[in-house]
Amino acid sequence: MNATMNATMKQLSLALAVMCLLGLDAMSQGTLNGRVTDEKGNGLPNATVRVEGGKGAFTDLDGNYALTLSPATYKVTYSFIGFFDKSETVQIQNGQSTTLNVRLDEDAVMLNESVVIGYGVQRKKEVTGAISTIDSKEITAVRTPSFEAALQGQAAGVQVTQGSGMAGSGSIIRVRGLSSISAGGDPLYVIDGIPITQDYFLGGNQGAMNRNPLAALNPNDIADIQILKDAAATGIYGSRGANGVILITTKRGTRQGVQVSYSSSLGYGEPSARPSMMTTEEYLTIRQEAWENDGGTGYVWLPYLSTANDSPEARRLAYEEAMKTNTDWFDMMTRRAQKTQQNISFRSGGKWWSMYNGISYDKNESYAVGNAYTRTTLRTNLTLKPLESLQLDVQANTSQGVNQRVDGGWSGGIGASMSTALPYMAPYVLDTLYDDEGNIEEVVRDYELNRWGNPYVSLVNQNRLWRETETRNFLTGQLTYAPTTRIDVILSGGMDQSIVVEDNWRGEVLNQFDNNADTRLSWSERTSPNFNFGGNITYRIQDSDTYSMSLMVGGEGQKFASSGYWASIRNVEGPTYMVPEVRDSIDLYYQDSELTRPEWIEGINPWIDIPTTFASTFARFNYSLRDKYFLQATARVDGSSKFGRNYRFGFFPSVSLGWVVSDEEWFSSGAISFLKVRSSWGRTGNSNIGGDAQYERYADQTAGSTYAGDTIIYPLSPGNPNLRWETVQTVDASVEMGLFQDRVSVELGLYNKMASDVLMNSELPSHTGWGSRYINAGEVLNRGIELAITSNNLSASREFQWKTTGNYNYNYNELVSTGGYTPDAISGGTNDSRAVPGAPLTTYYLVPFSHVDAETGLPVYIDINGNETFDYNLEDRRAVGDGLPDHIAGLTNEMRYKNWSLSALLTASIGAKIWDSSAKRQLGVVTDWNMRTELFDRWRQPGDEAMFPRLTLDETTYGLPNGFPWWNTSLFMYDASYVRLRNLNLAYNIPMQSGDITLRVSGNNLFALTNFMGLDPELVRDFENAQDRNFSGGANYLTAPQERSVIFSINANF
Amino acid sequence: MNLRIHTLLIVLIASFGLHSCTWLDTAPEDLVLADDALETEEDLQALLVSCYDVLANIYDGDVQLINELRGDNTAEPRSNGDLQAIYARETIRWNSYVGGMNREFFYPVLRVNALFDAFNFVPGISEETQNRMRAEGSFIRAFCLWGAVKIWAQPYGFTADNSHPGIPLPTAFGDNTYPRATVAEAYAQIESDLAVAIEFLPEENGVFATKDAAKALLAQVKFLQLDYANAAALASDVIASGRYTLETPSNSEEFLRLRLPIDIVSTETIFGTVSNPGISDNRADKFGDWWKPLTNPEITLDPALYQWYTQIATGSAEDGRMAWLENHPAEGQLWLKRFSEYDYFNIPLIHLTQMMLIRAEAYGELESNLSTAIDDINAIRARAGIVSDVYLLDATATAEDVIEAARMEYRKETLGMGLWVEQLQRRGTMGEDITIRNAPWDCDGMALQFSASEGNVEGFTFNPVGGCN
Repeated sequence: MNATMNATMKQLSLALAVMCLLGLDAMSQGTLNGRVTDEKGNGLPNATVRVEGGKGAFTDLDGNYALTLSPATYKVTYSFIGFFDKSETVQIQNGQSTTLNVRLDEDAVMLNESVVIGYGVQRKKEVTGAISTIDSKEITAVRTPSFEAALQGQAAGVQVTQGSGMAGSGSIIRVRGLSSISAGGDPLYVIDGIPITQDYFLGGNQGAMNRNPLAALNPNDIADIQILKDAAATGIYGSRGANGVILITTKRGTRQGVQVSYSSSLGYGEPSARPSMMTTEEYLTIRQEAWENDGGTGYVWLPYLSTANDSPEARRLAYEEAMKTNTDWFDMMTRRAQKTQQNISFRSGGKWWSMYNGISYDKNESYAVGNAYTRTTLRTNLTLKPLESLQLDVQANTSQGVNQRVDGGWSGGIGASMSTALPYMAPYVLDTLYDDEGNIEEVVRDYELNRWGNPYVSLVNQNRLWRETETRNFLTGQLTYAPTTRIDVILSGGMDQSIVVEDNWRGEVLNQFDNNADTRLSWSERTSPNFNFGGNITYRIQDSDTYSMSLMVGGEGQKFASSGYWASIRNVEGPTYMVPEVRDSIDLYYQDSELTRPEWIEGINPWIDIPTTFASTFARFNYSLRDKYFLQATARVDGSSKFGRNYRFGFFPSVSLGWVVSDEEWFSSGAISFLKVRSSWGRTGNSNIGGDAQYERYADQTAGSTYAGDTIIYPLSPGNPNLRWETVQTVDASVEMGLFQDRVSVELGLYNKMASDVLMNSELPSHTGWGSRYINAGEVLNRGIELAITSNNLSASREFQWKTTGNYNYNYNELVSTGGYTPDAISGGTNDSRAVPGAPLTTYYLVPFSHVDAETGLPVYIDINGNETFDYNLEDRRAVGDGLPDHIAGLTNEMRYKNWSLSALLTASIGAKIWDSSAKRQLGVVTDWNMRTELFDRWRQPGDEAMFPRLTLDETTYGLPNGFPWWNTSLFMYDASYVRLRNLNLAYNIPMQSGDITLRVSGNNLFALTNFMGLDPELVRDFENAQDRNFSGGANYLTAPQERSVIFSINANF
Repeated sequence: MNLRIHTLLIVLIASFGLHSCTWLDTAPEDLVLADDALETEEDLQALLVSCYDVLANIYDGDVQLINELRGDNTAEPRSNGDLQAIYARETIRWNSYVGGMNREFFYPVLRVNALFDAFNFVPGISEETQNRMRAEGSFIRAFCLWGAVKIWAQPYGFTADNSHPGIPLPTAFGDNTYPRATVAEAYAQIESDLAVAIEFLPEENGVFATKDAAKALLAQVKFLQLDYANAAALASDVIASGRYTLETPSNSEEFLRLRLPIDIVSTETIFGTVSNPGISDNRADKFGDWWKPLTNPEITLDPALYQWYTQIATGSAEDGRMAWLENHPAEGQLWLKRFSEYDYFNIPLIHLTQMMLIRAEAYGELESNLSTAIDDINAIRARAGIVSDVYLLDATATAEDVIEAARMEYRKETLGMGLWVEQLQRRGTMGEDITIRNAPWDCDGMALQFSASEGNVEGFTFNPVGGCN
């Protein structure tokens, strides 16, 4: 008993003693808490708070932290990736709570930032390639029809030409110039590790617009974008890296609690410029003058109202009739567009999982009446980490983009308002209908379609219903297994599926002259699945003090297919989205060709593109010595189904070196806090052509073509079994510097890209009997300088902060050789750009215009020998300019004062020329197009010094060949240099107890400084194919101008 | 360590596995590749028929119009710039209409060359079949090369030795490019092809080429070469075969349909193309497009032609062919109605009337067999409904009378079919003072410009532009 009691007492005493000690300890401790924020006052989640001596903590979602410390004086260090570490000394009092809020300064150099590279991540310090990083704020700050337009001005060496103001329009992106001729010149887009479908021509060119394959992506889901530019960076993508690689990483969940972000915006848009089309009085004056200059007497004949052969009296009556109407057609076809966007996302997670969910709705009307792009997206990104060594990432996204289409450019709509819609034509006239007794029965609109192609009729009363709906599904996943710290094994796979359904319905009014149908519907569906799968394994060896190295090897496969069918339908009451039975019938009769089709289904036809596949093996070796010497070597073998067996495989190696000079002991500089030099060499490729180029093909004998009752079969294309990869050899040398304790970072790069075996779809001479054939013949050089600067001008510790980021790129582009083909062998579609050896790609090949002869008023040209001549001779054509800029730049200034912030993004493009192909008729021979008021500066009498020659209705007056009114002279080529205020953004941030609210107003494309005599010097017209897209980037043909928009938004984070 | 290296190697080997499998062979089964397209005799026959198919497509009114616009039968096209340029004989490389036709003329040539090439690898083709196919192919190639050289080169006889530039002569399958051969070389190739055709073509071959067709084509070639003896002999052979007879229209409707029936092939047709309204297969649609007077026809005749047309017969009662014309003197227009009344018709490319008139004129030039020539001409006139002796040649007609009458009837009978301008050029080479719409018969622009694509490879010699105004 005693023994038991003693033992119990001992245990009790021990417990009491422990409790006392604990109590004493608690009583002798203090608390340190506070909040870690960035320079804007935003809490930094997961920032590290480290107390000298070992204790530490992480901040929560809002940047708050708390530590319990014994009374003493401590040195506490706060750190967060992308920011300078900051240390504070704090004294902890017994039993007291001490608050220490810390604001971290952004590190312009960010050596420890993780950079996404192909098939992995690296510390920025170790990166030996040229990579630009753009974060989500920069992408969502600018309201654009499609996310890629927001990259403009954000990265050195990346030229972004915004699409037109039409809803959903795409941009052209060129990374370090343009190397391709006939193969796609766009960079490779990779989302969460999977190359996506990015064919701009799956839908052809309808309504003067190409379908934008990137429009369905939600910018709010993007965490950041890395643009890989040199061979060291793109080499791991081998055959598809020649034009750069854009890696898009979507947002992920958080492992701490739930974060909710909500944003809502409302705004309006309008054309950034308005055309200077003539009024009726102006146009008739000009036309009359041309008529009289040509020797005509009396009143000039007027298109749609009279003819040249009409009697003078008939012409006079038509003239007087015309004077009664004055329609501003551009005004008729445009509006102030409404824009609205709702976006909500949830980031959540726990110890072994995290998830991001995003939902967005974005209705983006364009200023073109009837045109809107509505995007609805739903994304879930899930990360599971059931074991420390095992992680599964799954990204799922579905989106639907509905494009309410209208005609543009050559196809009508706004294009017609700048051309065939003459001001003396009314949108409609009122016709009074009477009954048998002479009473007014009805007053109806007559659009006078018997006279002319009135563009207004398509916009009203649902006369035309045209909708293109893309359903885009992404499903990607990665399984990462890291059994030790030295090994990562990654298996990945994904699917990107695009389903595009198009309804183009013309109602009875539009179809009134069709003898065979009251209404017509053109319908199509195209499904384009894209499958990827692969895996890689990385092995690392590290000696903590001396070296580290890693070797990654992997393989990848990809298959892309596209197929669908289209139908011609008549006499149905609407498109399939309004009359779904029509769709059912199309499906029925397509699936069973044995069924006898009803008459209203005129035809159903399939289309099947040849599937294309890739198979790749790649490896990357990285070696780091003393954390200041870096070596990287990559090698990739790609096989492509696009090439014949002889040349199916390509080998694409790269090697690069980096040296952090500032880490050398001998290095000492007061101003330079960081200095790194790097250089790379590598070979990358491009195979972005169709799958059938290699094949000698025959027409399908089973297709039913006959002559005189007999089946026919015939050769279609010559093919080229020796077709092979287009390759680019790139040499890059760069310097990265941090100045003034890294408050300023500078990155200066030089590059030389030489493309050889460039794929050319050369038109074969007529007498061969063939059309065209792909060959490897071209050589293209791009050489340039890149400069990127980030400067924290004013210290973050002040209330007023100012940060500047800028980038600049000079690029020299030259088509070195076309393998003996003449300039006319390779052209930009219907434009006048040609492949001229010695000149840049996108060169305009025109007859040089000298001046207007003051005595005669006739145009004076420069012949091939450099002499002035009145003779317009197409043999005198030569390279007169090109559409590629020599210099591009972006400059962003961000200023903050307390809770206010103001940012402005200026972009500039210098040296490109615009070939205004539509000006041939807006400012040239007087035809049946309306004209621009710039034409007022025309020659009228001897002695006049004028920009434009004497007016005429007869093309031969200007020396043009009879029947050839296309006046291809440099008179209509203009300097397209500009400086544009791309974005101006004013925001007020309201900190909340947990989270914040930001109110923002932003203006986009507010103004442009330019000498361009046209609508907007930045334009992307419609293209026929990839070659046209490469060659005609600076060509204008009734292209709608950019959109100027003002957006009000609210963002809330909780 | 070894295990890890092995793992890396496994990954490498696995990924290389993708390369070696059929993963990269993606051509779908329904894609017809060259290796699979031509495997049997039926395949070759289908390839051969496709050559006729192209001929039917380009001779659907287009080739005929190009040749009419180079001559003096038509007025200036109403609005089509490409056609106006042909009329002005000022075509440039970028005339899409002319360039398109330039390319299409060589489609059959390519296909014929492919056919001949296929004889090397398609097994089981009997010698007889091969000879027949080779003969048909040769005929088609000759037809196209001759059609092309007449449009894109100055005529035979423009230079004494015909060393002036002709057209490229691709005679082997492939995508090789060729320089322009001389006109002499072009005609040599044409004659060589026709010799093969005459030797091996059958006398009956449905709507396809026959021995008569080859002879008749060669007769025309010889006629333009001023080889009147052979031209007449070949024409006589064809006429004497008895397989062709003159149509005998008896009313306006039948005259409108003269040699242009739809359900049957004209009894005059030696070689032609056919349409099939049953399946909406119209190989005469361009005649309608260009000449059809829905509002204002794009193409009308030279109004002066009306006076010429009526100089020996002033009304339909005297010349049934007056049914072809519709005169609009107030508008200064003369319409050709033959192609506008019907949507579908079969087109004769070589016919009996041609042979008779070629023979007649050749005999006139040879000053021999004038009685046969007179009979030929009178038969044509009588068929037209001309009964008055005043308008028929009598037995004492001179060679000059025969030649004049033969030319007049040739122009009348072939109106709109594009066969007149070559006769004017022939007469120019004979030394006659020929002007075509106030320009010499051999002015530069008479040879139309080649397609711009011909200049895609260095070294091609284009025709001079213009020079006819």
